[in-house]
Amino acid sequence: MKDKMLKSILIRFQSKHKFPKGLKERILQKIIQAQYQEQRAKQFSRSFSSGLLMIIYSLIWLGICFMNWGTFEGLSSENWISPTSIPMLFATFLALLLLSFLSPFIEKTSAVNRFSKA
Amino acid sequence: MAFNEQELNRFKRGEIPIFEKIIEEHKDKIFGNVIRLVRNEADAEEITQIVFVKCYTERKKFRGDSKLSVWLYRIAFNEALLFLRQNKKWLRLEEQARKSVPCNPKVEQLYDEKNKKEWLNKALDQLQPDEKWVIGLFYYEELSYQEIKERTGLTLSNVKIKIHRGKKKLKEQLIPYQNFFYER
Repeated sequence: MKDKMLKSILIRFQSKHKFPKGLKERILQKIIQAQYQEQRAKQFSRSFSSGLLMIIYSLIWLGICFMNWGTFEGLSSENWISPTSIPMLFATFLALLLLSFLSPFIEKTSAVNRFSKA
Repeated sequence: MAFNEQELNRFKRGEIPIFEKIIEEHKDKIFGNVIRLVRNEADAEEITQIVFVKCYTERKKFRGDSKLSVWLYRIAFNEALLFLRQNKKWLRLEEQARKSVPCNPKVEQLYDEKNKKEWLNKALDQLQPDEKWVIGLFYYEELSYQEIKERTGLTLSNVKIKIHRGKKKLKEQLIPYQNFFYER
């Protein structure tokens, strides 16, 4: 069989397929979703770096606390639950830190739900 | 599609209208090549979606020194092969093709136009996925070896070998029926 004949068979008897209806819209929707996720990832990385900054601040803050250990009243065992005691301050700080890390996720989930509903 | 500087910036910024234009311009060729390879509309749709979404997510890697179509074809080639490999669909296609090649077709079957298309598809399914893709670019899109090399990322000698092997396998498969393809 010659190359020319093979070519003509391949071209003449090829199966023709049309681009499916609605696929373009589906692709565009996926691209918009990817764009949205990209923006969220950027926001998340910004939140993450601010969280990291907070950790550095907290370490400095803790350092200062330990250097001035004696000046805090909350160190005594009966007062540890007082809102001004070091364990309580630290717990509040940790809760805030956790929230700052979690907030992008919470926002992302609710926004994705909004998007999929739309 | 060759970008001017302004369009390239819009592309890199990820503006949706420019992607809409890209999809409109390349959808038929990308889908056509993919479906020729996988022969299943649902899989072809999925791969086509992956290709265009990847075009968006990887847009910053596109330097703009080659045509966008070349870059898109390369993504399509890699994604289609990856899809087949991951889903092990190629093995199934190959097996199906081997089982369904008729040993002694009836005379009426030999003249049926639909059957001829089917034989051709079965013969094409006997090729390796990359051979089939390359053969498609060579015959259906009439691209040169150099253009195929750019669109697949294969070396020039590799492209030549794959086309040579593909032709040989196709001829072996089609020789018994060659007279029937052009009769009546």
